[in-house]
Amino acid sequence: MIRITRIIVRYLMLSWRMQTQFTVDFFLSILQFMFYTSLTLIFWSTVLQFSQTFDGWSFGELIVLNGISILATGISLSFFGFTQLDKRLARGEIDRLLCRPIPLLVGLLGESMPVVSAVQQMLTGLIIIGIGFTSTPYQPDIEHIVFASITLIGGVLAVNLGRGCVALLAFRLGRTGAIVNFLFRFDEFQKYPLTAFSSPVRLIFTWLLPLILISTYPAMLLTGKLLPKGWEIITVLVIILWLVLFWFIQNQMLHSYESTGN
Amino acid sequence: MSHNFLALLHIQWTDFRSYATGWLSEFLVLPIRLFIVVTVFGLVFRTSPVSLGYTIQEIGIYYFVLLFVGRFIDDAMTVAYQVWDDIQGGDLSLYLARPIYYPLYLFLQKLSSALIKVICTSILFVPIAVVVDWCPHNSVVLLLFLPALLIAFCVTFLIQLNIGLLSFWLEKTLTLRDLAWNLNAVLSGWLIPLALFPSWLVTLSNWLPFQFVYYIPASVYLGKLLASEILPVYSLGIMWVVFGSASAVILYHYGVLHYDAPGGN
Repeated sequence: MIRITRIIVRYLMLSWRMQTQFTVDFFLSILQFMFYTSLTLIFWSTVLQFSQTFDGWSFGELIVLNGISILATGISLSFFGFTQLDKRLARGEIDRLLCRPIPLLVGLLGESMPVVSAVQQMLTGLIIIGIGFTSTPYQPDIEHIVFASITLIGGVLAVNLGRGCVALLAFRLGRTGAIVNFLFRFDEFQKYPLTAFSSPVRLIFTWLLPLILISTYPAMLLTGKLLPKGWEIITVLVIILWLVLFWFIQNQMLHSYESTGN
Repeated sequence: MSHNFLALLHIQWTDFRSYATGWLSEFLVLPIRLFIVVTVFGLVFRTSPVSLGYTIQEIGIYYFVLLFVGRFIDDAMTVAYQVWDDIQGGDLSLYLARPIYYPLYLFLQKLSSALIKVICTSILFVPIAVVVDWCPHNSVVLLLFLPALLIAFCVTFLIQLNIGLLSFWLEKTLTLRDLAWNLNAVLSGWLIPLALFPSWLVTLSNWLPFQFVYYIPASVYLGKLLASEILPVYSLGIMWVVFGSASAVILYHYGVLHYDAPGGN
């Protein structure tokens, strides 16, 4: 365990050095990212000029939701390696990882993790959540914060394991990067309260691509909104479902992989 | 000149056919944003006590036109990266050794690719527009839409080219490009129609070139611009194109003098 932790820390330090080598660009990127996140503030403040709330969500609550969405994107960057799995497989780099005495997933995800971007997004997310709470009268208690955090982390895990399942199919199908990128395009939905959409849409984003767990549910918990009945069971079931599916697909794919590194 | 352009068109067509599957798959994700904004605005329309100046159908058409324009200017959006890569990677030397004026070559390359894309995109978009009745009922509007589309392409290309040319002096200009993309997202009307913004932001966007990228073409298509407004608006757009071109010519002229290709002894 200590050895794996040391390897992960080494990967993180390498990634940090790579991303900070251009100093001016690094500081510009912080400014750029702050501006990027302000797009959401501009969008909602413009839309809510015409209506006090959006489907029962006030401006502050929508900002909290967007902050959580950015925080989730930052955490999701830990799984960035899935997007490149097919290309690395084609180049034979997976063989290199399989030959090493470290778990494949640690090597795959560790080598590709953009640490600076992840930290930037997580910090920005937290700042935006703070800004959101300045405009909402409700202040969450510790219990709600803990539940929201667990749901958020579980949701990020479930969504990314889902993407990982598709990425792992590269062992059989070859190029799956396009499908993974296609799935990323649906992330747009996590910026909006999914309660405002029709029930078929909500169903898709609860079970198939559980984006509802990584923004809407945690935001509802933090802002004191009433969640749908049985949300705790749904959350646990979705996470277990994707964990089992991922474990099964990973084993199947690795067993069927025929190469020098296997 | 026209012979060279046709040759470029042929190359771009061959290139486009090689990646046609990827281009087609992009269409699958296009309705996502349209679906979201129509749902969001639909809810706002139902609850808003004040008029937004747009009907829900107009909002749908607005974002539909944005998707179409987006397909047309797609290649121009990548110019900053290409120029940065050519300058920092040393590939610019290949162009300098040939009787080619690099910025013009890039423009014609991207324009030919955009022309191919706009034709192919129209084949998919026009039937949808006809079925959902999102076509303009006046053919003059379509004629006026074409120059707006061309200005949108030129403005995008020149913003990107000018940023890319700064790579002669700066090591990395990609974050600057991202900043321009985000400014573009707000001030071009991509995020939300500019008319819905607070008045100070509308005034600011009126003085900048970004509005010509999405907002003006979409407004022309929707018939939101009066006949008397179109000529002054287009003149301002052309003025920005002239200014951007002049700036690119100057940057390129001095940049090449500053250029130091790596490699050799």
